[in-house]
Amino acid sequence: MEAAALDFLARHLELGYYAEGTVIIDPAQGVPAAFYIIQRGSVQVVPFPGMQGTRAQPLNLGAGESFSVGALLERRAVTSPYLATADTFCYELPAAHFPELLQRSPVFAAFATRYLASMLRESRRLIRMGSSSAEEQQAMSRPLASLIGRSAVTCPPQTPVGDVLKTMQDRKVGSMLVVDGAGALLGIFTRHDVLDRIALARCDLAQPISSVMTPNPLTLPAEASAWEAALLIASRGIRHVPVHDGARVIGVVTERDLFALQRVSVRAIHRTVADAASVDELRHASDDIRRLGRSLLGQGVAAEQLTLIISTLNDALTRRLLEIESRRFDLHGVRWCWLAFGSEGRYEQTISTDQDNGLVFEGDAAPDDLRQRLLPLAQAVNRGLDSCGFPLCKGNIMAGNPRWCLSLEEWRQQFGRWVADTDPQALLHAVIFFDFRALHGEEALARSLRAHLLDLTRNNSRFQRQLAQYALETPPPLGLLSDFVTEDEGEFRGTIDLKKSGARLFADAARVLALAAGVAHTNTAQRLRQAGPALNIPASEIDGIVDGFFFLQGLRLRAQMDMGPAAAGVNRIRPDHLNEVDRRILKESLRQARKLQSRLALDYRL
Amino acid sequence: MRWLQRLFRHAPALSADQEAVLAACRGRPPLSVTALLADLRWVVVDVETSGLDPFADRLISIGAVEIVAGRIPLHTGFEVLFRQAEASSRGNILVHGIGGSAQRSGEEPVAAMLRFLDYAGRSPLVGFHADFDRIMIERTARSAIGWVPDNVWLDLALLAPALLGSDGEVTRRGLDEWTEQLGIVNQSRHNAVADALATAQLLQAVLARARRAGVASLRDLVRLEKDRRWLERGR
Repeated sequence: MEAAALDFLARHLELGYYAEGTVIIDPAQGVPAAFYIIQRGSVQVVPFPGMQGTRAQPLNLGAGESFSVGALLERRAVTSPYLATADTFCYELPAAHFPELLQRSPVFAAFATRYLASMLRESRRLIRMGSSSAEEQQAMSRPLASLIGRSAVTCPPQTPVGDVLKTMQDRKVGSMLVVDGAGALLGIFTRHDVLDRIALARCDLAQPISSVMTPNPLTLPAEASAWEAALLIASRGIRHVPVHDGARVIGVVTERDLFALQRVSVRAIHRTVADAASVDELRHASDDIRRLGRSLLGQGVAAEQLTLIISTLNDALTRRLLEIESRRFDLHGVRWCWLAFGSEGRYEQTISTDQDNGLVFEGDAAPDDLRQRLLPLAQAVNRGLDSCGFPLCKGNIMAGNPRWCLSLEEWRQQFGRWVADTDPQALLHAVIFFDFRALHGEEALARSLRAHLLDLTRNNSRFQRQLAQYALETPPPLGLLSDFVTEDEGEFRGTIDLKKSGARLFADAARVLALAAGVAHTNTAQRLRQAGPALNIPASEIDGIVDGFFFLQGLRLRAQMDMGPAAAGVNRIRPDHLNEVDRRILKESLRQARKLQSRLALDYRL
Repeated sequence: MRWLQRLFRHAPALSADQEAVLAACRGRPPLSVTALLADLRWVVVDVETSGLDPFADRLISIGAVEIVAGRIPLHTGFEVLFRQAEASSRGNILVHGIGGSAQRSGEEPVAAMLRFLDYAGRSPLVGFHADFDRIMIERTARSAIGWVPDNVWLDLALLAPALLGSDGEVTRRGLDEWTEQLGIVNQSRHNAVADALATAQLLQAVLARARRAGVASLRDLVRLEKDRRWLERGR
C-alpha cells in the first residue's frame, strides 16, 4: 500500500482485544463500527447458507487478514457473526474513515473492488433484498434440515391404526410417517385425518395404517429452504411437509415450525380466506396478505417467490369472493370463467395492484341475455375486490364492464380484430388482454381462448413484429456515458420508474418471445424459460435476464413497502440513494433488458 | 537564606503558564470509584530509568498509551524524555537504548512532567510492576513541580495472574511471559512506548476477563488487586 495511505491508517487505527469466544461483529449490530485487520489470533465466519441449500464451510481468518469490506462498502450489517476463536487483537479503522481510505489508496480500492466483484456474483445468485436486516434474511432461507428438530416418527404400513394413534399420543406428534423397510416414504397420517378417516368413518382400529394414510404425500429435500415449504403449505393447503435426504425420509416440517419463523402464517391466511363467509371477513384477510407480504419481504424471500405467494393468496381471495357472491345469483345453465389480466394474469402482482379482470362465458341463450345475468355478479365482485384493497381499474378493464364480459366467441372475434388491427390502441389492449389466465370457473373456456390466440399469433409475423416494435418503444434508462438516465425535471426528478422503464421492458419482450415460440404460460420468467430453448437462446443468458427482472421486481416491492401502496411514484427509486452493490446490480439488470431488446431488434429487423 | 532554599525545594519555580497548567491538572474533578470499567479511559505507563533503585535512580523517560472505550488509539501514544544533567551508565544505556546525547537533550523536567500530567488526567494509571513506575513518577513530580498526582494506580503484575492465570497459580510471571501467552507482539522491548503498548494489550485482555468475572466497577478492580497483594505478601 502507498506510504501516505499507511500513514493515514496509522493515524486512525485503534487496537481492540477480543477474548476467545467473543463475537466481534454480529448481524444485529447493523453497519459494522470499524474495518478490522487481525493483528494476532483467529476469527471464524460461518457464512449464511445460500438459497439452494449449499451449506458453505466456516471461513477462518488469521493474522494479517481483514474484514468486513463488503458490509462497509454496502453500508449494511454483516450476514453472519464474526467470532474470535482465540484471543485476538485487531487493528480497527473506525467506519467513518473507511471511505477516505478507499479514496486515499488506489491499491486498497482495487482490493476492495475485487472483493466486491466476487460479492456481485454471489448477489446475482441470491438477488437478496436489502431492506431486510441480515438476521431476518436468514430465517426464511434456512434449509429445512435445520428446522426438523427430532428424528421422524415412523411406522411400517401394516401397523394397526390403534397403535399408530397411541404412538402419536405418547410421542406428542401431529403426524406419523409410513415408511417401507428402506426408510422410503409411503404415506403420511396426521392428527387432522383422525376426525374424518377414523372417528366419522367408524374405522376398525385393527386395520393397517396403510388403508387410511395419505399415500405419496408431497415432500421436499432437506436442502430446500423454509420459504419453499411455506409456499407448498400455502398453495396446497397442507399442514405437514415430510423432508427427505434423497432416499430416506428424515423428518417433518409443520406449519407451526414455519410459523415460528414468520410473523404471519401463509397457511393461516389461506384458511381464513377459504373459510370466509362474507366480504367483510375477506377484507380482514386481505390486510393479512399485505402484512404477510411485508413480513416475507423483510425475511428476504426472493421477489419470484414473493410475487408468487402474493398472487396465490390474492387468487384464493378472489375465488372465495366469487363463491360467496355467485350464490346470490341464479346462474343456472351458464358456463363462465373469471379471467385475470395484466400483472395478475402474469402472476406478478406486487403490493399495489388495481383490478384487471374479465369474464368469458358460454351458454344456450343469446350472448346478450347471458351477459345481463352475469353482469350483476361481476359488478358485485368488482366492488368486493375494491373493498378488499384492489382499487377499481381506472381504464375500466373489469368484468363488470359489458365490454369485457364476453362470450367465448365474442372474445375470439375481439382477439382476432386486435391481431389484425394496426391501430396503436388495439395493440395497447392486446398487451393487457393477451396476458390472461383463468382464475375461477370453467377453465376449459380459458384454455380454448388461449389455443385460439396462439393460432392467431404464432405464425403471424406482422403482428409479432408490431408487438416487438411496441416492446422496443421504451429504452432502458441507461446512458452511454453516465450511469443512469433519470427524470430531469418535475416532481420525480432524479428518479427511475422501475415499472415503466424497468420490469415492463422484460414483460413486453417476454410476451413477444412467448407468442413466437407458442408458449401458453403468461408469467414473464416462465415465458422466458420456456421460450428460450425453442428460440435457441442459451440457458445461461435466460438466467441472467430472469435474475435481472426479479431484481427490479424486488426493488419495486421494497419501494412499495417503504412508501405504502397508495403513494404517488410508488414504482420510482433514486439510483443515488441505493448502496454501491444494489446500484451495480440495477445497472446490470437494465443491461439485461437492453440485451433482450437488442435480441428482439435483431430477430425482427427493427 | 536556608528558608528560601527550602521554599524553592518544595515549590520549584514555575512560569505563569506552567502554574496555570498545574492548577488545571489539580482542579480536575476526581474519578468516581463506582465508574464502570468499560466506561473508563485508562492510561498505561512504562518508565525507563537510570537503574533499578527506585529511590536513588533517575527517571529518563515515560511512555504511555491510552485505552478509550476498550480500544487503543494508535496515534495518541505519549512519550517524554526527561533532560538529564549527566548521562546514565553505559550498561544502563544498553538496556533502553537512549543514548547520552539524547538524554541531555530531553525536555526540561517541569515542562516534561506537566505534559505527562496533562496527558494522564484523572485516568487510572496502570503498569506492570506499577509500584516501580509509581515511585519513579511521584518522586520526579514532587521534585519538579512540588505536587504528587493522586491518580488511582493498578498493577498488572498482580491483576494478570488473578484474572488470566490458572487456578491457584503460584509462579510469578514477567511481562514477557504474559505477552507471549496472549500472542502480543512487542515491537521494541525497553522502548517506553512499545512496552506501554504491550502492557496496554495485556490490560485489554484483563479488562475483558474482569467483565466476564463480574468485576464491573473500578472499586471492584482495586479491591481485587488489594486482595491479591495481600495474598502475595503471605506467600
